[in-house]
Amino acid sequence: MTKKKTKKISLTNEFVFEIVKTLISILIALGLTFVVIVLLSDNPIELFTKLLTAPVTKVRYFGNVIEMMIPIAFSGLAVSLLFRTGLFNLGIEGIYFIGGVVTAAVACTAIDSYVLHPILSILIPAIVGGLLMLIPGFLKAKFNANELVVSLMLNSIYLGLGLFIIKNYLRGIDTSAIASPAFQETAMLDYIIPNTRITISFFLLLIAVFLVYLLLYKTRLGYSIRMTGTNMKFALYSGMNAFTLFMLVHFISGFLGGIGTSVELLSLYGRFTWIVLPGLGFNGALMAMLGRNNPVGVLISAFFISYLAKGAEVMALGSDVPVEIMAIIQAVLVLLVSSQYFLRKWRERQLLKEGTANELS
Amino acid sequence: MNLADFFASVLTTSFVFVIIRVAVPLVCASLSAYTAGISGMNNIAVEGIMLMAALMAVLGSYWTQSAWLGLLIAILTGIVMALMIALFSMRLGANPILVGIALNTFATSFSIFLLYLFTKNKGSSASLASKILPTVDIPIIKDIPFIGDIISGHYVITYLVVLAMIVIYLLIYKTPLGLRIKAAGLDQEAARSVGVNVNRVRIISLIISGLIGALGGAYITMGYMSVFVKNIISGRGWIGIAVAGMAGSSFPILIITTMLFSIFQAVTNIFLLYNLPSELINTIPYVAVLVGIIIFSITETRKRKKGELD
Repeated sequence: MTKKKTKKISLTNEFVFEIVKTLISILIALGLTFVVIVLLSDNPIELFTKLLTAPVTKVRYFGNVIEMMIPIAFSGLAVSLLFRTGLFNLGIEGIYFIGGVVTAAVACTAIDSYVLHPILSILIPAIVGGLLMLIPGFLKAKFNANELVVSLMLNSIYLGLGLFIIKNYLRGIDTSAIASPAFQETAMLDYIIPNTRITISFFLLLIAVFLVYLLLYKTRLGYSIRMTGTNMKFALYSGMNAFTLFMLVHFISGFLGGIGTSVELLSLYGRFTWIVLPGLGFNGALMAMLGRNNPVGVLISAFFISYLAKGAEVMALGSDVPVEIMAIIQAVLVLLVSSQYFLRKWRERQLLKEGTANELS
Repeated sequence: MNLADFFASVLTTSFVFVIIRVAVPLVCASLSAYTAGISGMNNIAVEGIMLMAALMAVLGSYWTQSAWLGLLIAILTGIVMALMIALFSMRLGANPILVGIALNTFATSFSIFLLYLFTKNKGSSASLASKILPTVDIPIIKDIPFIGDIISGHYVITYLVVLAMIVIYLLIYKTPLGLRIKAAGLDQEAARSVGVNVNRVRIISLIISGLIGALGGAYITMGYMSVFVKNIISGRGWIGIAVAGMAGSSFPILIITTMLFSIFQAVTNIFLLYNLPSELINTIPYVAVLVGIIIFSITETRKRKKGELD
């Protein structure tokens, strides 16, 4: 009797319930996508299979998945820390842009070392990113300025400032496009897996996930972050100075953003070519939501979304269904996963049933 | 740059006309963010609502071959999107800001998705014969020198937006419903305790928010321009959110700030003609809002501190 009880997967367990909820959300999102494909195409089964399986058919495709995952996982980590503290700051988008310009500045400088140059090209943008995030952090901590609005304004300002720097001080003369000169060969990160463009940045990401996990769950700062996120007033009573807390969170977030943008450019680009905001920071916000602001969750979400994005890309080749179908999958998923009450009634019924069963036995 | 030239181009009727032209979508964005925000239900999907409405205005007017039906379809799209915020945040318990972020990213890609389906082109709707809304010459007024040149001859939506501005002002400040909306935004528990149906009030606010946002989106593709191109709203919705965030619950500050912003934008356009660094000049409006919000926050903090001391 007792054996049967423990074996039964109980929906009353919060963790199990969240997983079931996520799986159901995925099924709904994919189901909806399938319906759309059926409407648009003559061979829906083939296309849908491609969407789901294409990334594992070639090493190169799977490599692409990892390549796509890295920048949005970094920005997801950065945003998740902010969200977790209850700060709706979307500034990582701007940090990716201006951090990219800083990366270009360092990577174009001649530093004759294959070790020092990449380290500096990642570390300097990271520090600059952290410092720049202190602007909205300070305004929030000191004057309670609306961080969402401030960060959005800063995004546009960084875009203009970054383009100004590229055009006037960091313009590549060997190209007609608005872009920086090619990065020095010493700065570029090497591909470490054959047939892919995966670099050391993959391991940096894993380390970052681990460190953010430690920070959140094993340190006092992390405890303050989690508590403040559930109740802003906590920050005032927690003993940890709210000002210090906000500043630290913003700095770490910007630091992660700086790493994310630099490894992206040093792995895949070779020169700075963005002329609009890259969208990687906003995508990070979605990853943070999907991963419920948990570092491991963010990593899994970034992988999952990148996997589907690659699948959609392969599927779109030579078919009537554009790759933007990803928008439907992503939006439905994110919305359902962030809905606290989605399936809650069902869960409550289970709770009730279990409660009555316990009472009877 | 010659200063005299600059003033010569600023102090003309056509410049004021340009300010109004630039201001219309920004006013819509601000009003959209304001009406939702004041009820305590932040709508940060304004950008996405305007984008989808801009697209549906083009598609709708092409399908129906009527500019007015196109406008109607655009407005319905805006309302549906705003109601999504209501659905997910009120019924399903998601944070409205997160829903807004998701809707914005959705609109960015989904607009291209639809554009491609109907035009086989991911960049622009130029191949569709969509309709634009007519301009209006106001009789008598149009013959008044100076004033006639400024306020006559705009697109229909411009006058609709002025009307909407007045209606929203009256609604918020002069009607019981407006009082309820503000109450729901200030303290929903207190509002509930005196019998305000908070959810219903917020849904009404969101519907107005979606409607006015859509009007701004349709203006872009049915007046300001006559085609839809990728990312055509280019941040106007975000500006509206910033302005509304700065204005708080004050309608006059909202409108004044939006107009200041529009003037900045129009002046920026003139600066660009003088071969100044356009990238930096483009940031002037954003810097202005940023400075504005910093000053606003500092004075608010001072006020609060003073209040605590008293």
